[in-house]
Amino acid sequence: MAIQQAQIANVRRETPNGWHFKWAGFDITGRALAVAAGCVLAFLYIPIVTLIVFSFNSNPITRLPLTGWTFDWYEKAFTNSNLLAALGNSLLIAAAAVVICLAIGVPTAFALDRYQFPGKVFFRRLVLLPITLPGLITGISMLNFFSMMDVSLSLLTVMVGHGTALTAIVVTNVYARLQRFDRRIEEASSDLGARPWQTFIKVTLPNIRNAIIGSSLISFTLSFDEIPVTFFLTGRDNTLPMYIWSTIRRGITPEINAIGSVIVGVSIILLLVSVFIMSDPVKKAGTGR
Amino acid sequence: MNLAQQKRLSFAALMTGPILWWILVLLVPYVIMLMISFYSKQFPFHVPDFQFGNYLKIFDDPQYFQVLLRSLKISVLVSLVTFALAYPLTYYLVFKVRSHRVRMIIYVATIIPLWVSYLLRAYTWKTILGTEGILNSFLMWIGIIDEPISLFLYNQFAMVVTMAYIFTPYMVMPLFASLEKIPRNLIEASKDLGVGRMGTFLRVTLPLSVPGILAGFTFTFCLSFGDFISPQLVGGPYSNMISNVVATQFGIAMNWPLGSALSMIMLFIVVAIITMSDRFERAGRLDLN
Amino acid sequence: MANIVEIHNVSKTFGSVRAVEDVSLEIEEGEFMTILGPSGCGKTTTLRMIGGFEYPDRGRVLLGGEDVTDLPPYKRPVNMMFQDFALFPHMTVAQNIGYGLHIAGLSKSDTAKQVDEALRTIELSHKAASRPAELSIGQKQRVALARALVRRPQVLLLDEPMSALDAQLRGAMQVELKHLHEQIGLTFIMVTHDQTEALVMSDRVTVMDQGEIVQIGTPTELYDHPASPYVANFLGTSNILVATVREIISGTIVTDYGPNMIRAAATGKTPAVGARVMLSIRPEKLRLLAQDAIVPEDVNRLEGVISEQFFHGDSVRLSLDIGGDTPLVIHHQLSSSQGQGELPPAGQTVNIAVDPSSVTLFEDIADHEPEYRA
Repeated sequence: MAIQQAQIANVRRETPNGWHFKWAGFDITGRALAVAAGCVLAFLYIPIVTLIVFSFNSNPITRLPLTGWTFDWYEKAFTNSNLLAALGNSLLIAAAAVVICLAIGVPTAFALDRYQFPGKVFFRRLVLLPITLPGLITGISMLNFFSMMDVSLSLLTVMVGHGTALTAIVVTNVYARLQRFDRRIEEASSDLGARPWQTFIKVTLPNIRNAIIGSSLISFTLSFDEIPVTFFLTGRDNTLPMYIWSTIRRGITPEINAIGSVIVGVSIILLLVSVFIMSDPVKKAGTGR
Repeated sequence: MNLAQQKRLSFAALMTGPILWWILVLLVPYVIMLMISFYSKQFPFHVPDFQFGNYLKIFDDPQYFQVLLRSLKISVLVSLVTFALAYPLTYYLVFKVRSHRVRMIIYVATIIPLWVSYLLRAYTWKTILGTEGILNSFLMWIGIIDEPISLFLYNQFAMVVTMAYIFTPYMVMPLFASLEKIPRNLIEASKDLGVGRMGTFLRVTLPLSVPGILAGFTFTFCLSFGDFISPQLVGGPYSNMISNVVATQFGIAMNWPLGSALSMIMLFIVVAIITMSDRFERAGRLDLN
Repeated sequence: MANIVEIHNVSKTFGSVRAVEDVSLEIEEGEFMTILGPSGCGKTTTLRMIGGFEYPDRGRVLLGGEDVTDLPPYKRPVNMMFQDFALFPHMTVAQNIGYGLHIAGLSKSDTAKQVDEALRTIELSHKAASRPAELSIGQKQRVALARALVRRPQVLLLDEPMSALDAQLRGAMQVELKHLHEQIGLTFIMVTHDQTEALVMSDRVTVMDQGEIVQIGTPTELYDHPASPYVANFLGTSNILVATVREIISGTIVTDYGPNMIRAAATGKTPAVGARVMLSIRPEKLRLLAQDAIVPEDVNRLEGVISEQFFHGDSVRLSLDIGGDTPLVIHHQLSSSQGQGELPPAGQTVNIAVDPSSVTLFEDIADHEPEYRA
């Protein structure tokens, strides 16, 4: 490989007036673009880095210069009972939301992929509406609904709200996977004597498993982070983002930096795991080529 | 029972639950919201009615109409800023980074912030831009200014910066997808025909990336338009967005009919924009094999 | 012999497309039947209705005398080798082959034993733990075949089994499949668009066109006595000439084609004098005559000018203008004693001969597109 590349590089250098074969140091546009790209990346990461750095800074006011290391803010955050209760609520809601998303989203994706039924186009649009619309609208429409049905607001209404807002994530991911799915392997399974449920468990599910797990992780993360819907649907109980929000509207405390850093870390790990899982297993094996 | 009947039965078994769910949590709430938007406010709550007063008020009362215009302006500004940030970065990634691995790593790195708590990302800008914040203290620390500047936070500038920061990944994703789809040989052909770098960019690359630009603008616009968290955190008293006004109607103002009417208008604007960009995209779709 | 598969008046429509129209077909036990036709002719739909993957709008499907029209695939005693093989990507080779046995409720050890045996037969024991993605196309095909055969089906269905293979492998596999069929004596039903494949491998061939069966017969029957110009042209190549009937003399139909007279042996109905008919003549049935050669009275002797020569290595194809609308193509086999150089060059007038029995006559010309050419 390396040798081949070197040879290609040589050939390139020998090619006269080829436009993309440039001499080192003379690609001004390239340099400028690289600098611009670097700046944008910095723009994207400086706030996150700031958050983490100040979670370890001993000064209770987030300002420069840094005053020294401390773990106090973490200790404070994890002994704050309100915060912990909110964290517990958020985890519970996110788990319930994932269950709803899967229970509704997977059959919906199958219906969209495999069946023709009247009103399918309308149904598809309706189902995908919550990810295209601002969360605020989903929240308000459900608030109106619950109020008209005389349902009092609680964690349960938040769960239903998150389920509604996020099911489309599972639908789109599983649907996309099903579109690439080779239906003939299901026919092969049926041909080899498997009943439909056996085919589903032994052939279909293993092949869409990654899309399901991946979109579950995404839904979990998004539910854990959700405010617009929660804002309208929660009762007396707070979720973590709602708790953080009510705190930071009053003022800034490094405690939030600490819990924020933890959330950042966990989210990134979850994201990387889901990206890894969602990439095709066949592609991942990669030994075929 | 023949095979066709079996298929119908399996569809019913699969979809009865989900379809009922979708109707109950999605269709019915939207209809109820539409209904309530025609109700009249009457202390302490509202009464069923059918009148267009709420809608008329939005267009008559400069208070609401101004906010609507401001929201549109801010959302367009956010889209423009994210575009200005995302295009060079994406262009650099697709056309200048040669290693596929490096390209994917940087791409994923630009997407990762999306999964880091939205609230925390908005919040960090508050800690950065505030009078007591990091930017001011940094400037004072290195001696550029003596007094903290209050110009950074609680205005439209802070809102645009914060939302642009939050939504840039939504611009990068579709741009990346559309730039990656452009066949390299088209660009080579253009250069081969003696068109310069700038000419090639303006006549080949840019037009071919229009679908991605459209999608990016649609995403970022709709997201900013529906955001009521960032404006509240960094926008200050004179930067209310339409979404804030909506949220207020369901909070202290307790005017659900007006809030529902505002939501319907938001919904209409968002759906109109999505439909339009869809149409444009489809009309201009080229076959790049 | 008993019919293992019977299809009675089966029709199938997809939306507005008539895929299969009133098809009836009987397949004998142990037979190698090929359904041949261009893409979209309904051959795959017919096969899929035998496998149970499509439900016919009308008509019945019988397997071993039993009506299986309403049975799903998993209740039918047939197995299919799918186009592109449809191996389970998430299972190993051994798991793929053992899948049908496992589903049938065989014990782990019995399954393992049979899988081992199958792997040995297809010479892939060393790949037992590999995933399909790691196999070559030829290996995938063998796994797909083994997976279908371990179920000991009454009928093996093969959907375009060679389409993924390159030309070289294809030839080898044709022979291998034919041998396999001879060894195990199972009924094979294959679908293909490749006429060579059909001719080489099958006991009988069913030719389909636009959802209907055009002709059923052994490869030689189809080749020598095509029922229509369509068949004549789909199986091998043929010169199709539109000629006029001059007279009919005791079992021989005499026609005029340009300045030449061509006689065809009468089979079945005889056309009216003066009627326009189609003649089909295989290029290899035309013999190039030496200048002074004498041919028997009853053999057609035609005269024409060589317009072009195409060298094919072991043979030469000559394009000959005999004064009609379409030039005649002659397949001339080269031999050890005759190279290309000894053939008459382009522009020269030559004589050719063809037996009346090698001239197939079709009465009906209205149905067929005019541009049937060799």
